[in-house]
Amino acid sequence: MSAVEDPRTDVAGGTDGADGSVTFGLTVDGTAHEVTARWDESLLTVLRDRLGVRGPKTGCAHGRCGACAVKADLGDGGHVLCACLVPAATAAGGTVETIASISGPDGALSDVQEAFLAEGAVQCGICTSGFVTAATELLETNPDPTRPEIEAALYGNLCRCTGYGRIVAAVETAARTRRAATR
Amino acid sequence: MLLEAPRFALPETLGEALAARAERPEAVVVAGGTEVMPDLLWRNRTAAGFLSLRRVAALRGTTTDGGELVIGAGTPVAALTTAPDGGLRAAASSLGTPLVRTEATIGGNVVSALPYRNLLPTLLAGGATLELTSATGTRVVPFDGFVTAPGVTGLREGELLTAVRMPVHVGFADYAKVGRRNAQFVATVSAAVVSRDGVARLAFGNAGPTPLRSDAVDTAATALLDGRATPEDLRATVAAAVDPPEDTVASAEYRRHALGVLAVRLVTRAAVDAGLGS
Amino acid sequence: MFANMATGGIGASVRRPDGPAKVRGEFSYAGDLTAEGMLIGVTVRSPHPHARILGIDTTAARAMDGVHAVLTVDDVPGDRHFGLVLRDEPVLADGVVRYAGEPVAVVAAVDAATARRAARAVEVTYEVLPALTDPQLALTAASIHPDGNVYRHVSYSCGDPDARGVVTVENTYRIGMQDPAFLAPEAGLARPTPDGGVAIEVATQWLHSDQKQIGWATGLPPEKVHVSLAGVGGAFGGREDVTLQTHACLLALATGRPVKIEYTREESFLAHRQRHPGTIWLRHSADADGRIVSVEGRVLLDGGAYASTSPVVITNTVTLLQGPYRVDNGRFEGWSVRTNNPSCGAMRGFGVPQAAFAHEAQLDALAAALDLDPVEVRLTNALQRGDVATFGQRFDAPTPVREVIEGLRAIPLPTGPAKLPGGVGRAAEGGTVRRGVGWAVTMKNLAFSEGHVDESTAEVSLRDGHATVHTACAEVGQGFVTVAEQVARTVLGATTVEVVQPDTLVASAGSTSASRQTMASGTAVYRACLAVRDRLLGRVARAHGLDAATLTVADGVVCAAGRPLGPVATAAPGQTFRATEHFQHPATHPLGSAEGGMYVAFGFSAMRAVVDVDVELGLVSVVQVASCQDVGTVVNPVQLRGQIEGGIVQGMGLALMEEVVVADGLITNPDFQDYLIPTIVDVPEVVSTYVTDPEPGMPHGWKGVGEPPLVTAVPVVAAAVRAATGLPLPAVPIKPEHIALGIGAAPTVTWTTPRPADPDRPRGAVIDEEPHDAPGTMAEEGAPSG
Ligand SMILES: Cc1cc2nc3c(=O)[nH]c(=O)nc-3n(C[C@H](O)[C@H](O)[C@H](O)COP(=O)(O)OP(=O)(O)OC[C@H]3O[C@@H](n4cnc5c(N)ncnc54)[C@H](O)[C@@H]3O)c2cc1C
Ligand code: FES
Ligand code: FES
Repeated sequence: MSAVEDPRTDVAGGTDGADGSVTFGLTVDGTAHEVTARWDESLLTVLRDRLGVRGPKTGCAHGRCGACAVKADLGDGGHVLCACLVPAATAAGGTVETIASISGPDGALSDVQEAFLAEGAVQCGICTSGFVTAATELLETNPDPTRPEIEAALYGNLCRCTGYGRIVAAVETAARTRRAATR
Repeated sequence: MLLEAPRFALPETLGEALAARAERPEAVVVAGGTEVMPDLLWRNRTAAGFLSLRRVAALRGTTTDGGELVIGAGTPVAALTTAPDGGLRAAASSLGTPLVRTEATIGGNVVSALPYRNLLPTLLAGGATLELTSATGTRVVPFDGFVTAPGVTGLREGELLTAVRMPVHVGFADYAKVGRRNAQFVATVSAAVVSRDGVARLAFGNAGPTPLRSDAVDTAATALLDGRATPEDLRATVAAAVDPPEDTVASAEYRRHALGVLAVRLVTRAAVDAGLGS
Repeated sequence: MFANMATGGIGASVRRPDGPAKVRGEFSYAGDLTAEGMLIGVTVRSPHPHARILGIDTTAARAMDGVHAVLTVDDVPGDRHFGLVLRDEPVLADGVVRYAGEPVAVVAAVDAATARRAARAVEVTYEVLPALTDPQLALTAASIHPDGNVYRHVSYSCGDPDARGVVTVENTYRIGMQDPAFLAPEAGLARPTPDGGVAIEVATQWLHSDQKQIGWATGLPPEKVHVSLAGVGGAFGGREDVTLQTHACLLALATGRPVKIEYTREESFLAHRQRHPGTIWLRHSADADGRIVSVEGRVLLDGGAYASTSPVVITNTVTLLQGPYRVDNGRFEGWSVRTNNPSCGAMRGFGVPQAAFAHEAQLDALAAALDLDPVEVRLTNALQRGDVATFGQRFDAPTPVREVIEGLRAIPLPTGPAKLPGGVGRAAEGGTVRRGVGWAVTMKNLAFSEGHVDESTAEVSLRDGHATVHTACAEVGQGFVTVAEQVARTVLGATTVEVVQPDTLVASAGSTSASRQTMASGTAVYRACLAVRDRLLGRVARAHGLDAATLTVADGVVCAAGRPLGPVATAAPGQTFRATEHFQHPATHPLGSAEGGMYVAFGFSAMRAVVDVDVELGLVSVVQVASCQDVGTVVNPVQLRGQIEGGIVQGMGLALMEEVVVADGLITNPDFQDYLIPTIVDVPEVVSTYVTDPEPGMPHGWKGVGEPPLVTAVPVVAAAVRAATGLPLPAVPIKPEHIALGIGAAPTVTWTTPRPADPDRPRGAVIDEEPHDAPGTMAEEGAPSG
């Protein structure tokens, strides 16, 4: 068993000197950065530890919980993914929108965020930025999702606190609000 | 090249990718990374550098060539959830999670070569072939036989998997997978079926060290399809053909049983589709 | 009392005050902490479940660039041992390791990569010892710890355990090891303080317990150990024990720098306490009408390598074997034992889900044997106020067992389409699916028990309508911050409320566990608010020349004899009113004590589950869980529902999929690929209703609600799967192969000659000092009949 250590920031266990680093450009929530990272670092580590962008959370670091979900454009239009699974440098020159890009520029909550609060979809909240990110993406492509469609879109996000009932309710409420607003 | 560092190569064209493959034999090829990154985290594999195919546009996307669907190896699994082939569609739709499927590629699934991976039974049942390309050219090999042991394939040094070619079947194709919860699970076992012109072909996942099919099973499946055999016949044939693992997730006995159940159900679905049964 | 719903008081679905920051991703969790000059701490863990440490060579690790400290047990300045109940666990391994993952050394370095490399460079020489991994063997095997292999043996009887009705049913039930699996792994940041002490911000459930144990290890007095709560991403019991707290503080003191430790998911599984796996043997005897005549039970819980709360959990399991039913005659015994398996401790339900799974299976088995309706059998036996428990305590508060069952019966069965078993795998066919309906009723003790002091303190201040509430109650997601705000609005009429981040500058609030914080800290806040209100009203009375006794606060307005005088916010401009109040439940007493009961209060819950099962493949879809729970009063409807739904889903997780699989002392699935918790596709529709019978002695009659939903969900889901399959299914989690291959023994049913209870045998609990028998081997009842 590999009981001993977390290789998250040292995956190869190597003795890399300077030649283990990669430098690339990355735009995060509208701000351009030049990032220098180890070649094997994940996008999540770069966002959180190198750039101090802490909206995406680390729940598992292996793609199972969705707490790290961000919207990223790696030259193909952009979609929501698990930042912990992406080798950071593959995003060179790309853009990332985290939960910080979901609130309005004035800090106003989005309809999804508002609905999560109103319906009690937040308890400890560690899963929330991932859920809000995935639910926002869902409503952009499907403004009137059925319950099975909501579940199908969100099963990459785990929540240990709520039992999901209030999260489904929040997405339904957000969809209703959005439809009412655009009618 | 979008990015070149001693330990990291990010080619944009297939030519650059193949050149990098030749120049960096020690580098681990990474496409979506959904297999490689957890492996590194858990120290299931070591790496001395990455060659990322993520930005090679030529590897992404699906075309048709005669009677074949040509799926670029870098095509994300998400794109296959609407594939014309019912088997691919079902296997892709139950792979991982919506957040994983946007990055996970068909090429990574094939080269991972693990017997429980979703797309493998579908490709095996469907008679898929693989385009393997190196700086010196491309060869096309059948998927059947490509995986030789868990995690081991017939990919040669300097080669990349560039496309998966899947015959476009006029007929029925489906895939089903059994696990320990109702979404986001590794297949305890899985099965795929293709049926065309009254002939059924089955393939199984986690039924042995590699994706598995057998002529005897197909004969029994075809017999069930046209009513010459009973479900019990097919189950018995499947039970004899498979050699599933025993682990903490499930016993070999359960797996053997479940593979038989899946086989019967998929063939029954094919029969219903063909208007042969109910 | 429920007047100001509109203004966000008690009874209203007030939104969480920390919600906006959480939906923006701006809320700071322990894992988000950083500090100038911060070092990263990494733990060197034992790969062996049992080994002697022959040597630890830290030379190479210390010599590495960027490494600031490498500590082993010899560097622990204070007491080398800690623990919640017994001090039997080394801060860092002391010559022997007793579980795989046990901390052996800790390293601090400039960054995580360096720290991890240094951790790998620590050379530990082990002499591997045979691992004791079978809890049954632990009773007789040579001790693997100076304190012995038995954490606690409990044995008592009541009435005449040999009384018999016409039938007895008995079976052995098994419960797997569940992980709390909170979503944010453990993290904390410690800093040395100028006074030579240490301060730590950490995601914990119990600040003062951490403070005490850090003090032991560092040798610092409590006033030099400052603990404050960092944002907590779920807890469920798993953060009640100390994990990285002491290590981070020792490293900060050794290096003079801030040190952060953050576990990975894998380390999280290795480091925190799981729910006790166990074996429970139960024998019920009943009359022809289903009335329980006697119950005998035996429990064996595997506590793993160190005690944690094992001595307390076992009593919960054993005493609550009776369930919410009247049992006059019985004999109960249990052991929690030490093995070289992972240490177990608190997890939501605290020993009771195990008991509930077993007793509810027994009730169904009784009903089946007697051909009675399982709901009627439960109603026949339902506890009532005034009854006496097997453990001697009288139920002298509302005991609405019948009411929760009747409330549940009123909920219609689901109609509409249901999700297929197997979900996205598309393996199931409509035609192969069988529906089952199951019932379960449970009792959960609330708050600390058996003499463990259950108390909290609140400091409240009010100025110009703005209230500040300070307690040491850890907010772990459950929503205490909202409740505290609601109380301050209702009692004080505050317009704005700030709930200060908990720390050890205020007195202990106890742990956020045992469904206790609304009762304990909520009541402390309530009392402090009353005191502040009285001070405010006294001032207003003097200013207006009124009698303070005629003044009240309602809806944010000060009233004199019911007539509005003016808003609280402007009642005493610029003046601050403060109060600190303490709350403590009436004392509890050890099992068998003549002085009083073991438990503070009880919560009752009834559920009905509807499941669809693909019997051939063993796949399950939980269609609906209907719940009726005794909640005292509804403090916040949305938050209450969140507790019910979240608890149900954790319980169904244990029933169907969650298990830490330990092979030869090693956790085989310390990750979220193989340790499965329910996804959004797995969860049922939840229908939730309540019985509101106010709890005496509590403001507004509130009581704890967090654990009962989990406790009941385990047996109810299992019962429904049994109903669908006709299989006995005596073990959870129920695996697909248990269903598909029909694995698991059925209860033994014996027709017995009725034997009335000997009237001379004492009621109430009589403690038996000597074990009656080895676990699970109580004398045979007689030849099983067909
Ligand atoms: C949370 C989670 C859930 C998952 N669930 C499932 C599931 O349900 N079913 C399932 O089948 N899989 C699952 N997977 C595994 C994985 O997502 C899939 O196998 C995926 O298809 C791998 O594709 P990738 O592009 O990410 O592979 P990568 O990780 O990029 O690569 C995988 C392997 O293929 C090699 N490789 C990739 N592309 C090429 C190429 N073109 N030529 C040569 N070699 C190549 C790599 O060197 C590596 O050895 C899951 C993974 C995660 C993290
Ligand atoms: S942290 Fe990325 S999915 Fe869990
Ligand atoms: S709210 Fe805690 S994990 Fe979802």
